[in-house]
Amino acid sequence: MHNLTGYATNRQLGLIYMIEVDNLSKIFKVYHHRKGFFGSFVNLFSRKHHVVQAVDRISFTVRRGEIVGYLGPNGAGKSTTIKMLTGILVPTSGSVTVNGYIPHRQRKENAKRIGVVFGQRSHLWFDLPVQESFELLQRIYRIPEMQYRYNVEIFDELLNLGDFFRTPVRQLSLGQRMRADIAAALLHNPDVLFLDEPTIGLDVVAKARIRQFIQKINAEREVTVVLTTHDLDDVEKLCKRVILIDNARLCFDGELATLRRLLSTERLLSVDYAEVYPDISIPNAHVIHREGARAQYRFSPEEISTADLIGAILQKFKIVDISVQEPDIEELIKTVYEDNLTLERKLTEPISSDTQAN
Amino acid sequence: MHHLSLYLHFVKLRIQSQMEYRLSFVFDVFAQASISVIDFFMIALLFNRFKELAGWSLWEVGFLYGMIGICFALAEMFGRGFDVFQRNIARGDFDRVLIRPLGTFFQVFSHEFLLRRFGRIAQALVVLLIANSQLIIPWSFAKVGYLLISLVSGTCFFIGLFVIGATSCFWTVQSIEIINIFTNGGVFMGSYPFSIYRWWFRHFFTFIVPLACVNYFPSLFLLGKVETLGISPVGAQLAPLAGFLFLGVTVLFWRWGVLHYQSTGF
Amino acid sequence: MKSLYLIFQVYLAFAKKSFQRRMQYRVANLAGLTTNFFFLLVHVFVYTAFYAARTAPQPLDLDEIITYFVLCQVSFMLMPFWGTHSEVTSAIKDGSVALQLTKPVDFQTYWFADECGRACYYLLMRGLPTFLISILFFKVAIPQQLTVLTTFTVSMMLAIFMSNAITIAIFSSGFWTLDTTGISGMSYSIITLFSGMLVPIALWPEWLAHLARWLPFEGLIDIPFSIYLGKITGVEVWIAMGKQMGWTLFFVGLGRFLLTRGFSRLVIQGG
Repeated sequence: MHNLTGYATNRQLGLIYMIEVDNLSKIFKVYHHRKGFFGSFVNLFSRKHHVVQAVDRISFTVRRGEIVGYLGPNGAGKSTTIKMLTGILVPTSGSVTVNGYIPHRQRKENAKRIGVVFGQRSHLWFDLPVQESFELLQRIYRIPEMQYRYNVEIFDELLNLGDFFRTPVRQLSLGQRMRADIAAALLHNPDVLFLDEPTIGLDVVAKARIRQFIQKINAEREVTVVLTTHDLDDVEKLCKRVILIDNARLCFDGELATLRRLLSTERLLSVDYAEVYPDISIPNAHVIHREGARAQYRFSPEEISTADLIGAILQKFKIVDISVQEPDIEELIKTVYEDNLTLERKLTEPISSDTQAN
Repeated sequence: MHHLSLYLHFVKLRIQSQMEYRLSFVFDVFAQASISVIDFFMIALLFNRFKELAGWSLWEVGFLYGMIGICFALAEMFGRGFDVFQRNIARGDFDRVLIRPLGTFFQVFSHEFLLRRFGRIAQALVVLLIANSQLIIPWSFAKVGYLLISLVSGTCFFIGLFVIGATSCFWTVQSIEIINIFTNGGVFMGSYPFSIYRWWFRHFFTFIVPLACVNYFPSLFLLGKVETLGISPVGAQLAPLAGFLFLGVTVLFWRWGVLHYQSTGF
Repeated sequence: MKSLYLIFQVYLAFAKKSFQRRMQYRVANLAGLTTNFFFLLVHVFVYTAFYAARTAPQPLDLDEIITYFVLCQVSFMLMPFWGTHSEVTSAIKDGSVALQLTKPVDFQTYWFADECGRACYYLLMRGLPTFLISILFFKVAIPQQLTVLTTFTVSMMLAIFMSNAITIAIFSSGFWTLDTTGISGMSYSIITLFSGMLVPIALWPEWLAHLARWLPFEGLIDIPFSIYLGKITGVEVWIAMGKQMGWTLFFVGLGRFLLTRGFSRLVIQGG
């Protein structure tokens, strides 16, 4: 099977890192337009501008076969980074290599080995049926017939492309289009797959299907995946590792679980008591909700660890059921964006105080 | 070879999709032809009244008209990708071009093929053929070859103009209308002998924007008018090279524009 | 009376909006201005060369011809038929016209208002500058009598109304054939030819000029410009303007008929 897909031969062995980004910066000039008739004339010859730093000295590496979530609020510099990794933009300073190639200098070489999907816009030919778009890609990437047929068959199996294989792209639903786009980006067996908002606007079923597909392709073909998304479900389902950027700067790079721990200032503990106790207060935990024998506590792992809290409860009362609620990552990342300082402070502090949590 | 077969494949697909709406296609071809028919009809009306223009007869001017018409319609047919580039770059389509393992110029060039310009080509060709039948041109193989090269050169010239217009979109999309002066305006002024224009106008359209080189000088040579005007025959024969050269320069301009796009992100 | 005034206010607001929308594209306008002037220049070269060889008197002398084409470049952008089309036109083309119908206004009048705003914009930003530049470079005739100027202005406005009415009629066919490029292309040729835009009708051979007199399209270009040049005088001016008015009413009616039929089709098909 490996010979059929051409993987073993494609791979550039000896490279540990698929993507290396070092001190990468991108500065845009934003031009101001002068107003008035005379002003518009002057605009033709000289334009005033101010400088916007879209990406600011970012460094990270991605290993072969990793799935990395590249997260950040709108305008944080996600897309700009992806564009530099795919050769669409030239960095202002710093260096990028993908698969050993410098994307903007070896654009065509790099393009042969990467797959790109932009969720907002299809990369297929608008007025051609999916099948003809695929055949066109086969010619463009010079995909051997065997490999092409094998891939189409596999992708059809996983994504049910057959339902709309002969439909012009313009007539596809968003979900169908996204399936077609992702399959199209993988036809030439790329080593890296860049997904920019691949599930945007899709319903739950369509999202799940695409996530499964990405997982499977990653596991079976060792395709490195860089994923930007707004959907934190995507991140939870797909990425072990996340890179968080905000205001053009990298503010977190590590495991999702670590991020979660770092961010979890407060948690919730729900308890079903065996009977109704008049006083259920516990030091360092606040009762925020109480209904019959059921109660909910809010606590901070920095003040009391989960284990200690449960211990304290068990000591005093009889319980039927107990559960700790994980913080909602979406909420947490939102707090990070709102208050970037908190995270920076935390990142500089040692991660020892809450190692017992969970 | 890979590029050629790929290009032919693109053209095949484009033709297929344009033929999907057959009736509208036929209408459009006729509409195209009818627009250019009245252009020439009006020139004929003027000749009906004035008999000659700076020593040129109606069918000599018809020869000029036919040549420039064919070149422009061919350029629109093949260079359509650059002609509509403004629209595509505004949609962000150029990013897609950059992630494909092919040259940017080739991709934009092969993106469109406008079969409907066939109507205009046919109309201009008919005028050229009638002009030929009305004039006595001592054709030889070399001269036919020269005519064909001139037509290709003229096509390259107009495609070059489209490329300039497209490249300027990397900076601003507002000034692109200026290129109409040279495309539509070029067809209009190329339909008349250059001797009627003022010297600065002539020189501009010979040495900077070499419109005269792809149309007027070749016609002078083929119609045997070179000697009467005191222009060196060798110069007239070499003139069509300017069209190819022009396209070459615009390709360089295009490359420079792409680099600009890549470092500014538009 | 008051309610009529209020209705007028509404359409005035549409016209203003249409004007303002275009004010954003000033650089494009500068480019367009250059293009206008370029075409004018080539026309002048061509006719100067034609006239150079003729000693016999012509229906229009060279200066009059130049004035004719100056007026042409000044005014053709004001007419939706040759100038850029308004958003309404493309709305019919792409079917988003259904949205426009939700507005509680008469569609045809709304369209007119939109085009009037457009015409004002092009008069101010294209027409007048072209005229002023032309005066600097060429011998442009300027009528001395106030009556000529007044009748010309009225005739020009009628021409703009008529071009609006024609455009609406043409693009209303978009309700039946989805692609109007064929129909608009064909009518473009006929109208451009018989309006006298390419060659003044005075220079045409008798038989063709005769045909043009029976068609409505000379009212777009040839009639107002002939009034300006003093080629139509006295009672003939009133006949000519009556012709313009009659044809305008005809096309307004035709457009109205087509629009009503088209909309009912739209409703039946559900857009």
